[in-house]
Amino acid sequence: MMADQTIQKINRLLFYAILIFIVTVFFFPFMWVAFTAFQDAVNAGAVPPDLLAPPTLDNFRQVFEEGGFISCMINSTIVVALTLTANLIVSLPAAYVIARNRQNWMMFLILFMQMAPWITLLLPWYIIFKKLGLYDTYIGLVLSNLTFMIPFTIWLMLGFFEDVPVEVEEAAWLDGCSHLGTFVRIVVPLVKGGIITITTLGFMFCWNIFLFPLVLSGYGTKTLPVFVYGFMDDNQLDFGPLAAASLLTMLPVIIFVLINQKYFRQGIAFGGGK
Amino acid sequence: MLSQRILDYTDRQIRWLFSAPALLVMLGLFAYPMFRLIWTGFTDEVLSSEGKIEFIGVANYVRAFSEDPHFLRSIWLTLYFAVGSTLGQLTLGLGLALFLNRQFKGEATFRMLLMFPIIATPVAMSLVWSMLMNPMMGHLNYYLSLLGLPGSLWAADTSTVLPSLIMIELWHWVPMTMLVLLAGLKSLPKEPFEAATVDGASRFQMFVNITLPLLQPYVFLLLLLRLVHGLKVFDKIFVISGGGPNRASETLNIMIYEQAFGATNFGYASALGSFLLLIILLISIGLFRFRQRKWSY
Amino acid sequence: MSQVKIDKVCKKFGDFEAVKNFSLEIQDGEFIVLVGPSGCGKTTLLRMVAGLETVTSGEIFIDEAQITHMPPKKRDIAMVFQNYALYPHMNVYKNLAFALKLRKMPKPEIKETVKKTADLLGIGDFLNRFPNQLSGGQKQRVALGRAIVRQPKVFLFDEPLSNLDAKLRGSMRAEILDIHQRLNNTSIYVTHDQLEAMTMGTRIIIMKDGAIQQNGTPQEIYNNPVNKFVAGFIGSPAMNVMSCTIKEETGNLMAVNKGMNLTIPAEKTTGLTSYIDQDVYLGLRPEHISDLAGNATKADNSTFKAFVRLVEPLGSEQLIHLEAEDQRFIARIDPRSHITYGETLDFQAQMASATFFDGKTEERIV
Ligand SMILES: Nc1ncnc2c1ncn2[C@@H]1O[C@H](COP(=O)(O)OP(=O)(O)OP(=O)(O)O)[C@@H](O)[C@H]1O
Ligand SMILES: [Mg+2]
Repeated sequence: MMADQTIQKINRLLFYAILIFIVTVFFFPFMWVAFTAFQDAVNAGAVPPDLLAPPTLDNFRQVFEEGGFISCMINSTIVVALTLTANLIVSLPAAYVIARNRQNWMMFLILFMQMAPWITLLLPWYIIFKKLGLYDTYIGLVLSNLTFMIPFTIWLMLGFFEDVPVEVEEAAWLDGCSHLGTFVRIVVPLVKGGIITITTLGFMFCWNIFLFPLVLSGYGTKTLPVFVYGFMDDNQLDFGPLAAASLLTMLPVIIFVLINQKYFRQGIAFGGGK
Repeated sequence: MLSQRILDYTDRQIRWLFSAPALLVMLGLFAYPMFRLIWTGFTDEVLSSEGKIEFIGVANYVRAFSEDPHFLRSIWLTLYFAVGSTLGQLTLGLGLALFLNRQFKGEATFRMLLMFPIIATPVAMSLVWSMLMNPMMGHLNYYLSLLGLPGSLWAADTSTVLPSLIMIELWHWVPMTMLVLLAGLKSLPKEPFEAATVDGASRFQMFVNITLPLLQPYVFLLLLLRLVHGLKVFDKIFVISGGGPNRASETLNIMIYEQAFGATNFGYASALGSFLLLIILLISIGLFRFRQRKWSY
Repeated sequence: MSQVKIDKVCKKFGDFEAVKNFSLEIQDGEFIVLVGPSGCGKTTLLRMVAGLETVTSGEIFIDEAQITHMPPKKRDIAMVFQNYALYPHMNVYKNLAFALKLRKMPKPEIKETVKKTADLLGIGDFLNRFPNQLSGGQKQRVALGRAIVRQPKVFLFDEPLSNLDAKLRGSMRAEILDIHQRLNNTSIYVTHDQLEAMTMGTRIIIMKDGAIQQNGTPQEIYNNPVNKFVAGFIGSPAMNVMSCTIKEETGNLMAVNKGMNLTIPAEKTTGLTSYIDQDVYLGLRPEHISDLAGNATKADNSTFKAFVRLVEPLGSEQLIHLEAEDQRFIARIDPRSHITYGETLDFQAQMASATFFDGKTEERIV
């Protein structure tokens, strides 16, 4: 009896020890960046760091003073908001139609569009966008984001739309609703969960995307990830400001996703992610 | 009366109205560019060239396979990175999922913390990692020294750069494979396990004979998805090593980018891109066949 | 005030003809029941009337107005679905009010109408609940209410009770009839349950393979089935149908097979004389087979020997499963008779109530 209990206790202890180790491995960089962002120039790069050094906001001041941080943040916000709105308007109706008339070739195209490497899209886009005057415009960035958001949204929403019983729609038609009215008043409210999921994941994808704006945005529409990349080149070994810039860049997306945690996990478990 | 008829007609044709915007966007931004990419791959287009683009047949492909020694090397580097990180993600993810497939206090907090690597902006985290991996001032070497191990040059050395990048890729995505597999484990039917317990199977026997076969569709699907993802990784490599040192981490994606926007060889870059696209297409077909067979969607 | 006329309607899914040349006229206020085995096209027909399915050929009219190609929202028809099809994101009040709102009825009026309907159905206390907070029976009432509330020209019901348990089904049946009697709406009610059909319909349409087999009142159909299919479909347990040959012996017609040799009474012989020495089907309802227990008159020309395979005591009656040579059938017998498994006894067939069907066409002879 006693021995059994002791073994159980040791087992539990061991389990939590391993758990804490795992958490440390995966969470450590965040602790480091949060710590370093508040250190002065001397302590930020010191090994081992002085954990008790007084925190300072100088690094953040430097990030904000470096031209463009605020405007890049605004650009990012605008592009994300526009993309997510446009995405819902374009993808939801299409996903609904496909869900009601599913065919194999459609499914394959949607899958393949998610698989295609972004760099191969970027080459022709660069030429086309320059020609059409879409280079360095919000529209251009939104369009580039839509290209991966649309197939992903359709893919994810199919299941949600298929779960809406056809009879419910038919009941609405008989009640006197048009097709469009049925879609807006009956179907869309029933896939609300999917819409929140797609918006959460979409916020993450669009906020984080680097390659498209790296090539397709200029001074006018530069987004935060591109800003951080440039900031890194300018401040090679200045760990404090670099950490502050990294922290500021990822804070909005982390907060947004954590608010919708439940939906985020659903989305991840669904698609095996991107 | 007429306007009512028009409204009725539109309402009946709603499926076209509904799919048109998505169809147009995907035609303009996917289908046409793909065609354009493949076509450009057979020309000598350079970024600055004005109007004098010539069709040169398969010359770009000949150049890639027989004249550019780095092309074959970059295929090897790409595969190294993609396969290495895929296998790592699956083994670690599966191991963690099995370890965590139970109920414990603090589960919710734990899962929340593990979501951070997936969510955080990759460019920002790449920057953080490159600071951590700094051979002189970085924390990683300091911790190694605490354990009495020699430091490493990490991304600054040709022999360690790819393993270092794979390590970061694992840090980034293992939490996700783990969450997916954990969801898979939790959705497995209970009966086979109960039956096996009654039959007196050991834990290990249960794992080999029941868990793995039942989990196999998840694992295989994830394997293909992560492999395709691995073949496309750009941000990390570009930010941390930029393909260096000495092109030791210049995978296909980086090479195409450099050829197109660095060396301005647009035709050549497009040929390389078409090649990458072909590989991805083949894997997609395999994935699709598998999905149709095993899964309802 | 609406009649429905279905005129030579056909429906094809690819090459498969689900509804064949179907014609039917329904009078104002009639409660018609469509019954038939699974897959015979009942739902398809109903959905064509509702406008949810296109019509391949033929025409449908409501009150003389051609509605064959009209979209459903304009037909002013209400349908009650098997799985209720309530709007999951609306509470009961909104479910009922939805159609009225679409018709731009003023708010106070909507409120009053919904309230009246809800009280009629006894769901007045649930108006704020959502569908997933209701029991099956309550959901069905809401679905009914949603149909009633807008006073449509025609009601369609597609197996509305089949998701309910047996007891609830019985009481809902009565309730639907009660409502029909109060509102007197033209209704088409689809079911594959013959008991439901017999108890509910003022007129029953029996369908098979997309075509009408018989159209009549429950009594007509029970007593005078037009063919072997209808005879076997209606009644519980169904009519016993045995194959036999018509013979003539000493001026009498006899129905003969391996285990039986039954005299056909004179009033039945008229149609059968032309069938002498031919194969026919003999139909006997279970209540038309009795044991000889109480009868003094022993074996006459309408008795036969049969082996008792199973006894099902049901309280007010007992069902005896019998076997005579290769033929199996069921008799409904007074519970006071002591019949046990394994016996071989004499039974009497009331040949005056027997029905005969053609051996090939399966149409009724007499
Ligand atoms: N959309 C369709 N495409 C092809 N065949 C169909 C379609 N809908 C129905 N059918 C076929 O038409 C026939 C009639 O179907 P229907 O649903 O009307 O039967 P039902 O009488 O309502 O049967 P149940 O009692 O099972 O509801 C069936 O054989 C069915 O397989
Ligand atoms: Mg049906």
